[in-house]
Amino acid sequence: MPTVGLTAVVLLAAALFAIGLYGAISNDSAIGILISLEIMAISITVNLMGFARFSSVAQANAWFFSVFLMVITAAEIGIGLALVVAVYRRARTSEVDDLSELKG
Amino acid sequence: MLNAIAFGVLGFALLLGAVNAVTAGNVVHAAFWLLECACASAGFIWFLGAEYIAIIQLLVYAGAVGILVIFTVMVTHRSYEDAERQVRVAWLPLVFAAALFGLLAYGILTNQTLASMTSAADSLTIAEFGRQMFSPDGWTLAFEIASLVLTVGLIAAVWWTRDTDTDADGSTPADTQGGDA
Repeated sequence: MPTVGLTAVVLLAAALFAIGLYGAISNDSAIGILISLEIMAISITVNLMGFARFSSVAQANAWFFSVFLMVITAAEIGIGLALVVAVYRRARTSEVDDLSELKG
Repeated sequence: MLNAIAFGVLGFALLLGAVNAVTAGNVVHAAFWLLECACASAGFIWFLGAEYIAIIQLLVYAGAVGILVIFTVMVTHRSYEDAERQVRVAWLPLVFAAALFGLLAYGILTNQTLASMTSAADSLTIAEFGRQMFSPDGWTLAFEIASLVLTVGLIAAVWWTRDTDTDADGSTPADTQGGDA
């Protein structure tokens, strides 16, 4: 049976992070940007769990960090989407290119 | 070592969800692809031997975050056309992300320590995880701070989304002044 090691898991997480980064930079919609940030957070969790699988020294720390990462991400998405709703009420759009009030 | 076939299937599901969530023309479709990506990541984490984290991942990302995103789309996009947008490839971000991935891949593939880590560690049990988290010299303080962060986040979200235009009698300034004053 063919097998893979930690290198493949970390590579997968790096690919996921790069996809999320592309979305966060290129998306016009504020909700799309937040979705991309979520994908980046998922990639970090996958990365941490990969290390937890192969290193007993890092295992407990990786579990703690991933739980705290989920807490931070949940708070971030809650505040981020609340901001989107607040901005939509004011500007009637959630496209970031249209929100140019503070543009010099 | 991990089974390459299961790794391939779950990894493909993860990348498929991520690529489609990022490039979907409709923001509702993007939210559903995020759900797929979250479910695939939970499956992948389960496959890596961390069942507890996989269940939390499913609850938090596929449950809470997915529903929150869909609700936000519901309250901000009034018509189907609002949710649609033109799909185009943004070349500069693409080059930037590809360069970052290339750099990371080079670092990962040339790292001998990573390549030598092939034997699976003993799986951490939930009981042991809980004991370590709540031991006095463990992560209790960090846990409490995390709870505080979540509470502050919740209050901030409610504060930002409250209807400031509505007066005590329920009328909005636009109602009383007539038009978009």
